[in-house]
Amino acid sequence: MQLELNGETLNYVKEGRGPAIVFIHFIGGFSGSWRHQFAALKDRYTCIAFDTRGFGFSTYNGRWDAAAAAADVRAGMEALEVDRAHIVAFSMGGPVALTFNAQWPQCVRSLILIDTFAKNHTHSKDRIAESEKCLRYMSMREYARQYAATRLLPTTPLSKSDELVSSMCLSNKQAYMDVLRGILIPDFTEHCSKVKAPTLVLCGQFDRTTPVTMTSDLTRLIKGAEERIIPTGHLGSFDDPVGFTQPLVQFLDAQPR
Amino acid sequence: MSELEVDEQGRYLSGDIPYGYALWGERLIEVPAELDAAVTAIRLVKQGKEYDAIAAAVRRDHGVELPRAKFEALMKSVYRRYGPIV
Repeated sequence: MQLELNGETLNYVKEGRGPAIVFIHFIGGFSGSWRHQFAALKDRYTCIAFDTRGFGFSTYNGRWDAAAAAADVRAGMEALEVDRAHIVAFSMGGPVALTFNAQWPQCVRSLILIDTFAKNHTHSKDRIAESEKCLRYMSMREYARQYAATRLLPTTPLSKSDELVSSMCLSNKQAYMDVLRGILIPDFTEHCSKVKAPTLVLCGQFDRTTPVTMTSDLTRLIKGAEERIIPTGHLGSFDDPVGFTQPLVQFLDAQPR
Repeated sequence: MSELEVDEQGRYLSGDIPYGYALWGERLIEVPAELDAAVTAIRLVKQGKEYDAIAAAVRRDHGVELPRAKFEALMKSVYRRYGPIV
């Protein structure tokens, strides 16, 4: 299904009945990256996942920053007549969710922030410069294959690597670069104090992209946030879909309906 | 060793050709067996393997050589893009 909003055509999937959950994917992900979580939750929640502008089957007209992505989430919720939702945000989705919450806190029932950060203080400029150069001559497929090899745990089945590569191949190259600039350089720390909703910070014990120290910074910045560490890498939904989904489900089911 | 430089459109300007690619005119074109070997090499680094074992593995599994200098340049680029991987 698609929505025309904010100058883009956003693809989305909506399934289930009950309180709304809006899922925001990682860089190179898309709505389909959430299918295991949809399967676990749609019998009692309305699960909504958008393909962020420039990813999956959504269009990209050349502007990506957390504010624009957050505005897309808001416009998407309005279009689907959703006033409030649990927001589940993975990696790139974290700064988008923090920005969304800062702007529209009344729309947030709870926040789940996964392998993400408020300020990414590791090698950001080098990462952007090298990624930009590589993406000029590498196909998205090859870039994704090397990314998957670095990010997934050695124990993760190769079929999961193929799944990640397929997902990343749906990404617009320019959007990918714009996301790196849009989330690795800005500091979203000030948004953390604006979070009043119950919050779960979930992090992978073996995550080298947003290591536990970085996600713990996020936990400390959000008053009352709960932190859970699971034995996965940065992309826990590929490393261990069941172990990744379980804490999300527990947290969501513990919230008032 | 000299740093690869490409223009905005990905056309080769100067520097070492990255592992997995060959220069064809002004373009870097893919060498599939080497690109498969590059992925294997990254996975093996993540498993804690050293260069000699990695070079032997890619020779056996992909039928290509992975010179030490190319391996180091590959991993330097990977670390710059993604940070620590182990």
